[in-house]
Amino acid sequence: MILEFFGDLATPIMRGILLGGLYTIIAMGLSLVFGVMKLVNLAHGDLVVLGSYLAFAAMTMLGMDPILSLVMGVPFLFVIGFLLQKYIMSRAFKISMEAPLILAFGVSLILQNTFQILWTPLSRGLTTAYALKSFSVGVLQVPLVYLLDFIGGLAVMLFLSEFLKRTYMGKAITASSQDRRAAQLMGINTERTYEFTFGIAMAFAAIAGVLLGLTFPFTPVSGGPFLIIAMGCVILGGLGSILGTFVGGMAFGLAQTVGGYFFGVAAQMLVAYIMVFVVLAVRPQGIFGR
Amino acid sequence: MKFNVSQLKGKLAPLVGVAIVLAVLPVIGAPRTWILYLFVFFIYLIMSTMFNLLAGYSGLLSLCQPAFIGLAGYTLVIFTWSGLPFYLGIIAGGIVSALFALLISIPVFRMGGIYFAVGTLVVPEALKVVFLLWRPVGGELHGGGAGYMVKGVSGITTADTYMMALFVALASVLVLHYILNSKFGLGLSAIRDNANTAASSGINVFQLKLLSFVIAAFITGLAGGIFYVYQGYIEPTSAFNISWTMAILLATAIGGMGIEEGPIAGTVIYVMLHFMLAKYAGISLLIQGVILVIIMLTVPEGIMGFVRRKRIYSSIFQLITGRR
Amino acid sequence: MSQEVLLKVSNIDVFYGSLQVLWDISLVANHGEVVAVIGANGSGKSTLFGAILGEVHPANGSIEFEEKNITALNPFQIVACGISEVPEGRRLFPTMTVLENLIVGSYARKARSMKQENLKRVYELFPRLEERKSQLAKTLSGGEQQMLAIGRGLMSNPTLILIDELSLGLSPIAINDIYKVLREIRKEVTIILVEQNVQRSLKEADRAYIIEAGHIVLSGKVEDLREEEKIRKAYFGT
Repeated sequence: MILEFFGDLATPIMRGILLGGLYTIIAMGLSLVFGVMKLVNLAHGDLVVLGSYLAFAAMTMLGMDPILSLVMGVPFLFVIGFLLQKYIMSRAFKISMEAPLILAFGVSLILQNTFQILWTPLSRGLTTAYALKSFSVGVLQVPLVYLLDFIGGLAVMLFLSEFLKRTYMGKAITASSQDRRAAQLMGINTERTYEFTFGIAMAFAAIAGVLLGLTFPFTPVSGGPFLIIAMGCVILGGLGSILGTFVGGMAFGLAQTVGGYFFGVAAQMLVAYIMVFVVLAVRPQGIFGR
Repeated sequence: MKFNVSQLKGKLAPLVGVAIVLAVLPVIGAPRTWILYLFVFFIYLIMSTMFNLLAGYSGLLSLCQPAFIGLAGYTLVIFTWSGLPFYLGIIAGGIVSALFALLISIPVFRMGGIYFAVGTLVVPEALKVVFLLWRPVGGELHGGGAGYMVKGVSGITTADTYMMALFVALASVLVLHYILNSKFGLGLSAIRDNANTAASSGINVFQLKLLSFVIAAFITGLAGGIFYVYQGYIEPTSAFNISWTMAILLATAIGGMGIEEGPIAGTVIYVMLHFMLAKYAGISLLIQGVILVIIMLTVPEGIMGFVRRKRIYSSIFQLITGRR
Repeated sequence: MSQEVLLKVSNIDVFYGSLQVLWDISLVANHGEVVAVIGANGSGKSTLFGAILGEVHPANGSIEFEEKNITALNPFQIVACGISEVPEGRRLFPTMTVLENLIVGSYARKARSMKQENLKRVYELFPRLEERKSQLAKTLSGGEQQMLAIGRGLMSNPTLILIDELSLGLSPIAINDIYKVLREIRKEVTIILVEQNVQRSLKEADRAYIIEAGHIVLSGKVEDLREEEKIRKAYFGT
């Protein structure tokens, strides 16, 4: 009996860990912008969903495979992020502390409403042939997309790590986030680094959007819940820690799948929300935080 | 707390005068559309005045107004379904919101600035899920959805809710004014300028913020209750919806955050906007979002801030009264 | 030692909002000099550096570097011209290693190609930095941090270095070491030095400016200044 129980639990646990990869990618973009520019981009979740809808459009109008569409999606969203920071967000920072938050909020609602107009409130999904495949590992059934999520998470994590460590722009971004003034004294154009940071965050959002669409159905308002979870991952993992965000991703993936297993699908988000709230309240500096 | 009576007379006499005129409107048979417009105006005025208290004066960018509104609405439902009169339900709604604010303040105030905004964002989302699953009163779900009709309000006319809303709106403006001119308000200004310095001057930052938070929750809850008496039904997705936050943010931002008259000016414009956009229900939020972005980028201090900055106020005042 | 003018600050007024903090400041640094700027806290020394580096822009007057007008440029552009600052309090990147801090110092395009040579030179001047090159900056001692800050400043291949509060928070031994290095560095770069430790800075400098409440009250060659009655009384107590 007990063995059965754990056996049954094994599937949601495995799924939760793999799902963590997706949440890592979503959280990574949020974490970058938060860490470097101290901005909680309230529109981040919706920007990820933008990635989903763009892939959807590529699929339905061009017959393109979603992952393939990233070839267009990633540069496109990078540029959007770059311009968003350059022309809108940078102005907001000069106004007040709350202005960027409020602006992001506005952008969030603009996006949500645009999605609704263009694609109706009906839930959509990136249904490809492989989206439904799964294969067996021992007694476990591993859905292919969950595996893709995990691999994606690892890839993004490694990419970001290397980028920040080895490239000059990466070093500039790290420096700008630690001490803006000192970074300028090094000859770093901090405005440019912020634009790049936002662009990279959006590039990640594009990837996250595609994986999201493959994993879950999405609606115009799907952004909110994923923003909250991403925030949870960032805070749980500790600001400034890439590995921490990855661990956070898995924690929340587990919270969702295991929570769903015990309390039903309808309540699975609630478990995640409560966890976010608890983390915010109890240990806002996170596990790996400085 | 100090209370400057002569100042009260000077600035607020016109306000009370306007309120009396407004109160008389339904009695003398003003058109129904006017009553409706003004009703909506009062509701949003209450909410943005309280939001101004929080975000403009207490440094709390609170995104959990829908939680207060929705909770008050559901309290109303519970009361009316239990056979209690609706006005008790409204007051109870305010109290429940205030208690809820008190409850979440403990974790939420530990979150500095930005975290606070995110923490308050989570709350309405979580409550939405809770109320989609939980049926506090009544039997099984019928007809789908998790909504409720508000009982015992069939006899209540728009005029009645109008009067209630007017009363609470006036009260909320007075409460804000009273707070700002008291020692409490002084403490808030100090916190707004620099929380650390304020703390070392002996100001109990936590207590003052908590007081603001709870007061705002109570009064916002009252508005929610009155609104749901008017609407007659409640449903989780719209009750805890971010569109409330959007409307309140926009109204306050247009008028000017951190400025006392801000919400009044802002809500006037917002309500006009609201009714103009009513035909375009599909893109209403889109346009609101665009306007918010434009306002924040061009006139972040809002209309009243702009007016004050350009000293238009004092010039017109001079012109009219012939004195400085 | 050539006497050509490297940096020329002419009659600048600087405001923070509507508050004036610098009045009609003029200052010159010639090639190969060490120029000291002396003044109490709040006298405007850091603002002067801020103006030179483009962090604040003067309302009036001009700043020329190598005969180019740099008054309106941004900080990163000014660094690219060849001016570097060792900021007050060091401002190292705390979770980066010594080596990483130094590498970031060579971010400016011009300096990137010289990265290896400059690194070698910095290690020559500060052997201890090479020893500790994989250590996190925040784990260094005060003196070592100051060395790293100077080393980082040198990595951008500057022609002029501004040093803000060189000996702040350092032990006497560390201060001695730092000044020894300063005498080495001055052979390659022109230095403008802001120092609390007046006597020390006057020992090392060729010329000095005394700044009080946003005004330059006295300036000139250090030998001449030493004779000045006011200075002797205020700073030497004789």
